[in-house]
Amino acid sequence: MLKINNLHVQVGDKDILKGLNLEVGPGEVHAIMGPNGSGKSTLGYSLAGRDGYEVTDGSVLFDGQNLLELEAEERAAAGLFLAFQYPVEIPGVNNAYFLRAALNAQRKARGEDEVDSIDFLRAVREQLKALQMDDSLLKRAVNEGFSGGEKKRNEMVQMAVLQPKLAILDETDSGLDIDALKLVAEGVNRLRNDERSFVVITHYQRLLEHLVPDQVHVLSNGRIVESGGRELAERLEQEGYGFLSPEEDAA
Amino acid sequence: MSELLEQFSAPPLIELESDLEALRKHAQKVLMQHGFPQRKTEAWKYTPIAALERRDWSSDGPDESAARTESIELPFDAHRIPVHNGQIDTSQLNEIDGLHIEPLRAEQIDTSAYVDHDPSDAFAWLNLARLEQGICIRVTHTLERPLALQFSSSDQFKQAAHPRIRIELAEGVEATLFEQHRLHGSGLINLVMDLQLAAGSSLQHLMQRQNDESALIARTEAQLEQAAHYQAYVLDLGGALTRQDLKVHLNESRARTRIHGVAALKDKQLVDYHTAIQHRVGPSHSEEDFRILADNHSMGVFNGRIHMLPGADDSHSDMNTANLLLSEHARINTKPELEIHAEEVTASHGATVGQLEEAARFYLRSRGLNDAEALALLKFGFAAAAFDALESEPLRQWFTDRLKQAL
Amino acid sequence: MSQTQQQVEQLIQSRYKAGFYTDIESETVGAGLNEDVIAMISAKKEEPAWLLEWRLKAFHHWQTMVGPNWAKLKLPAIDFQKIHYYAAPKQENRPKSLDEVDPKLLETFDKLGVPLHERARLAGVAVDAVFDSVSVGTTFQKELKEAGVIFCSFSEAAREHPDLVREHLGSVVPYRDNYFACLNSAVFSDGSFVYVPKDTRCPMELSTYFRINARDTGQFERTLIIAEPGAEVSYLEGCTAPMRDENQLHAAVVELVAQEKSKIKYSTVQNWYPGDENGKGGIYNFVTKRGDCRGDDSRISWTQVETGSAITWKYPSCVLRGDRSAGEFYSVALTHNHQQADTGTKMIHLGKDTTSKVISKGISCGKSQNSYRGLVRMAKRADNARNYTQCDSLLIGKTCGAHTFPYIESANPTAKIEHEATTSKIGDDQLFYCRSRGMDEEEAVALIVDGFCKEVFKELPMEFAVEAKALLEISLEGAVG
Repeated sequence: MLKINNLHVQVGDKDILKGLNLEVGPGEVHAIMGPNGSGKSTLGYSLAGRDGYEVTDGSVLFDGQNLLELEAEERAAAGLFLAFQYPVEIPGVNNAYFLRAALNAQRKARGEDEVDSIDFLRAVREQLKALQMDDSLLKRAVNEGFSGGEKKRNEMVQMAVLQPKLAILDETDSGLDIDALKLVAEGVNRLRNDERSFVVITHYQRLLEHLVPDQVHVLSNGRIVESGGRELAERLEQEGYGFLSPEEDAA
Repeated sequence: MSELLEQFSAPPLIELESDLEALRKHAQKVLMQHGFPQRKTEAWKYTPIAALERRDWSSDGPDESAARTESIELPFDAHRIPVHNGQIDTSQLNEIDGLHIEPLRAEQIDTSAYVDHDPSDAFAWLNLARLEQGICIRVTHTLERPLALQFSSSDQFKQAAHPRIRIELAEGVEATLFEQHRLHGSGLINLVMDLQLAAGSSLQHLMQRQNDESALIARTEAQLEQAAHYQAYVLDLGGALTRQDLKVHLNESRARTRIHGVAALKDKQLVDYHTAIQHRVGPSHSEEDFRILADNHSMGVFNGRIHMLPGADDSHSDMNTANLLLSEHARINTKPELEIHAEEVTASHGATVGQLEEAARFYLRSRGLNDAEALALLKFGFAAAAFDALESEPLRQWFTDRLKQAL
Repeated sequence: MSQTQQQVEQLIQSRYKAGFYTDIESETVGAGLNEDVIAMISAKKEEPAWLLEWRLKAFHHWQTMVGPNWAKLKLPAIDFQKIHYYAAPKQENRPKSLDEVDPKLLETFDKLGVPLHERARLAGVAVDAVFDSVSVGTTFQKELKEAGVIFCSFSEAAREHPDLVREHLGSVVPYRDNYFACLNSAVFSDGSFVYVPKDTRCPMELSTYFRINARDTGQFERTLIIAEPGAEVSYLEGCTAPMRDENQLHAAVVELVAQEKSKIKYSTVQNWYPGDENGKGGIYNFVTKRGDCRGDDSRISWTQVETGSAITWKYPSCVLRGDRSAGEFYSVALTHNHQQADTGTKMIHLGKDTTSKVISKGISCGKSQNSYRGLVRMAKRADNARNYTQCDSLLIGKTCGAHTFPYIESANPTAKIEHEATTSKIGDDQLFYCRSRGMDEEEAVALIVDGFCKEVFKELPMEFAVEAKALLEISLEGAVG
């Protein structure tokens, strides 16, 4: 599904990712953990194709194609979804309109017909209900005046409607109380199948209790320095990232 | 004397009855005394009058060669008053209940608010000095259909025309006024509209303009009595020169107004909004929101003035202007003014000038929209908010569709 | 009228504590303005010839100018031939040190709270005291000299450092700039001169105290501050005048030059005599203040507390020429009785990544008129420039006016401007809350006004923040109604 090889990314004149390798198979859930400033969000933005995140070396294959030569919207159409750590407010554009515009743009790019508006609304309402969000949200401007938790849940609604092949969740758990966290995890779990993959970027392992990953990676100083199973996340929780320091010094 | 002034120095062709003639002569005198606005005239510093000077206005009067009436599309049935090349045509309005149309009389022209010691109001004086056809529309009952003033001019139009329209709403009457402009050619429409809202009446005034080289200078002045309600929604989608003075006088208590506007400009278009809301008595209420998107070499100007006079206690006013500069050659000049002479009032204003946020563009693209679509959607969202308060769903839809097409 | 208001109206007696007159023999040039008067001022100050020439050039230009016609200010015609353009305490020789200064003068400044003699002078603040048209003396000159900082009267600078003066005089405010700046350029008397050399942080606060004493004189001081690359300086001016029934003219020019990576902080506590409760007398305060952020990464910050003068007309401005340069303007303007204030700032963004911040607090009481007038301009090459402006007005009384006229012009799509303004009166609920906690109405108003101005006060050097707060309280006395 996703194959990242020796990825180097520069932001401004600063090297953030310094040779990152990661392989995610179909249907797999990978968690990426690491201290602040280790490059977790940079990874998400680089994969989604944000301007200013300059790939200086390495390659990324997504579903067999070279992800790096695609524009941001082409990546979305190809099935990549980034749940933002800080979802952006878009005044004056209501959620329903926004979501339909996004879905139709992706369908058009894939050569599919526009979505039927009744089916569309039904699908969105279903997702809203599952995430315990009010219907009135559809008429409100995108993320405007939303609480932190609402914004994060709104990202999950979008993900469910857009049905990506690979979803990158950038600290979707931060700022959520335990109930909201469970809702988000359930939302993700409902979408899990043999085909769809997830990269879950997080600072804490509590989300992973509800969203069991196949693999856990530790990102530090722009590289994956350790990989393992779920137990790695638990070890990190107990010991903190302190045990990484010697290696960092060495680097 | 400037060239422009010289062109308007000859007496008008048509003679009017004596009272109106006297008014015209007075107006001509004021005009000749102070001339047209200069670059230093504060209220006109951003409106390039010089462009008008380069044209030839000496062949004043109706343009017979193009007497056809262009039909401007409307979202619904309306009482139409076409104004083609400046000629007001009321022939389609006969014997409609509650609607009375009469020639304008001298006592219906109030110039007490016109500045007569400098050139600030030169175009209002010009309108009066060249007055040939003025009408008064009295609305005595709530109308089922909106009134539609449809201004058009032909490709050959190169004259200056000075239509003057007064609309009176009787007590408690509700009306919707559609004002549309499709000006072609290279002329000038110098329009004055006086709106009289009697106690408890309510006017919803919708303006939509899409002009090319012909210039529009419009002065709209609304006088509100007790508890009257005036709402204006303006959508400007271009024109070489559009100058709109919009003055609302809240003369009695509980009068209220809301004026919202959007201009989406490109090429070398120019819109200059000068609004003034006067709170004469309290409690009165005003709310204002103007949004300008300036692309290419266009220029957007907003000068909003809130004036609370002594006695306007318990009044409240909110003014907001938001502007997007979309090109390195475009310009935005904005000045939201507050002038407060009463204590028990609250007033606020806000102004922003900037460009679209990169983060928002990326967010939309990460959801699958291409850059052009993302840009259009963000621009639309930015501007359309000005029409959120429009109560009528079909009207709002009509406005936002126009806007969407233009973006 | 409520009872409180009545009590308060009774309190509106003049609380102007600096209104006394010093009886000192003074040497005054006859009233009127012509080339001879200008030559005489220049000669008194032993100025170099080029400076006289410059004054005369300004004078000739001024004669071609027309006085301003301001929309918001009621200004009676000024007869410029009735004003004395030079007045100085009589003295045999120029005093060489503060010890030689006439004790009457020292006493005057003592009374104003600005002691100059060594045992009592303010710690950590160097003071230049200007009395009518001349500087009385400057404290801490020796200490400053050791640091390489020049701080002296403008007249002394013209004599001792002519090259520096010649290079910078008029480089920020050209003599043609406006009517009153032009007049000042022709007749300026004394003011302060500050030069901070490269990479030097001025070791103490610098301060000038301006005092008008003589009758029928105008005061035309000129201040020039130069901060070389990497230099830092904080400067404060204060001003007072005796109470008189006649209006007196004060037309000053202040020029700031900030080179690369330098910082200039300029604070003003303006307390010229405001006139009486009927609007009689008071100073006409027409001032041109401008700072030029000439170098990259330079910074100029203006802070002003304006409580005095019958009419104030001033717009301390920043020309943000250097890339990443920053301008700030913090202002409290309180008007009472018949005072008129028209003040604000201009932020002219020319360089890339320049930033500016404007915080203006206007308080209007009595029959006064208080206007904020400001300009923010983003020039074509001001990429990524930023401005934030907040203008708040507080109304105390039914007969006053509070106005806001912000001009915003942008020619660069990457520039961002945000402007907010509010006008309101002190809330009844706020007053009641304070009173229910035991404060009387005046205390409550003073407290609320102090809170309203907090953002500006915290920009003042500490000693002066206290003074400014006290000044505001005095000015507010009797304003509640």
